[in-house]
Amino acid sequence: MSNELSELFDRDPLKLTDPDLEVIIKRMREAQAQFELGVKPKAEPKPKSTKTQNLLKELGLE
Amino acid sequence: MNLIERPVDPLSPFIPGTFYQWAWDSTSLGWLKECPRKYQYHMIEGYSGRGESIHLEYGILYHGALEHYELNRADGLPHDLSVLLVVKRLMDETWRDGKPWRSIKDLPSDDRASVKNRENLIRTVVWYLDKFERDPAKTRMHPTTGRPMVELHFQFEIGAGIDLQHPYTLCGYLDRVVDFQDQPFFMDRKTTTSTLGSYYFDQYDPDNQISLYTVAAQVAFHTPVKGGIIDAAQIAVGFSRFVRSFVFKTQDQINEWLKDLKIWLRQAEIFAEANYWPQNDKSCHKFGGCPFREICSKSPDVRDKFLDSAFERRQWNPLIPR
Repeated sequence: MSNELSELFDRDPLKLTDPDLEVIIKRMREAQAQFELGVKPKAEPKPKSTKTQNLLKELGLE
Repeated sequence: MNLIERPVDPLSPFIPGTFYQWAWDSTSLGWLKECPRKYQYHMIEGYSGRGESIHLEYGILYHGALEHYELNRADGLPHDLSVLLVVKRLMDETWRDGKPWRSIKDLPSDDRASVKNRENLIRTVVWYLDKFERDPAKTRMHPTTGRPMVELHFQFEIGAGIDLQHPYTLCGYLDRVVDFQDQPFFMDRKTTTSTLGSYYFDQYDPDNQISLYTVAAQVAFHTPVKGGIIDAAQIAVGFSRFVRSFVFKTQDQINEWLKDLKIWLRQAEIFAEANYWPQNDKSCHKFGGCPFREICSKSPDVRDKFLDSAFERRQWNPLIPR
């Protein structure tokens, strides 16, 4: 999942605007179009968990 | 005990003070058929596996989203706006205690249902709605309310037609009633991580739920369905896939199912009278393995301790709307 999508999914839905939701839907549709064309989804590394991110921040590593 | 007494609490599927179940849905009937002891643990004692609720909750969110879309379209909203409203609602519903519910990032690596995460739920719903924007299966409109026949709760008494000694009620939900090529069918939606091939669909013919829903569509909604459509969504890493399959039922098959049901309900009465639900030890390893298999493998005197530590109490009640 792209950073853009990841950021939108992490945001409180009360702060999501309609254009934000349209971005989510657009990205999902692009993935669907690629899948139907037989393009394999990119093997992206699993995003770090919130816990891991917090830990890395605390340690000054991110 | 007079089984004709009706319970005081309308929300209890049992006659008060007894283990006589008068209201049955396909889930509780399925447990009884699979193994009386499994029925006892789930239905009488209210035990559920700690990981089981995710599948139920995921299904409820998925069904709710598709229902919401149908209602939006029936209100005249265009496809894209309906999808947007559904996604907005799903994002809200899956934001719990100030954080995302089952975010892909936060699921532990040992979560066996990790593919059923928030992001994949939204993806599956968007992909499904786009794929079936011009669905050849048309949702029927309710003859009295004029609303789409989706998420229909049913509850009706059986007995007269099949010569039962006591009144029983069958209840549950039909996901959708549709016309496909001018023939009425009920549609049952499934989410699964299994591959959608003949092996997957074979499990629904014959199947307790499909037969019960065929009866329900005929009796409760006066819709002469010939069977159902399994509307399956496979949720995988990186994609969702949708396949539909038909299950046809003749009236003779339905009559046979009702005849068998009479015997199953009598069996349930016998177990309740004896306050004992025997193990069916030929079922333990089927359907991916019974969640209580490890409990039943222990000596009876220690089972309660293991049950309390490995399971949680969450009473299944066929009468409570989902």
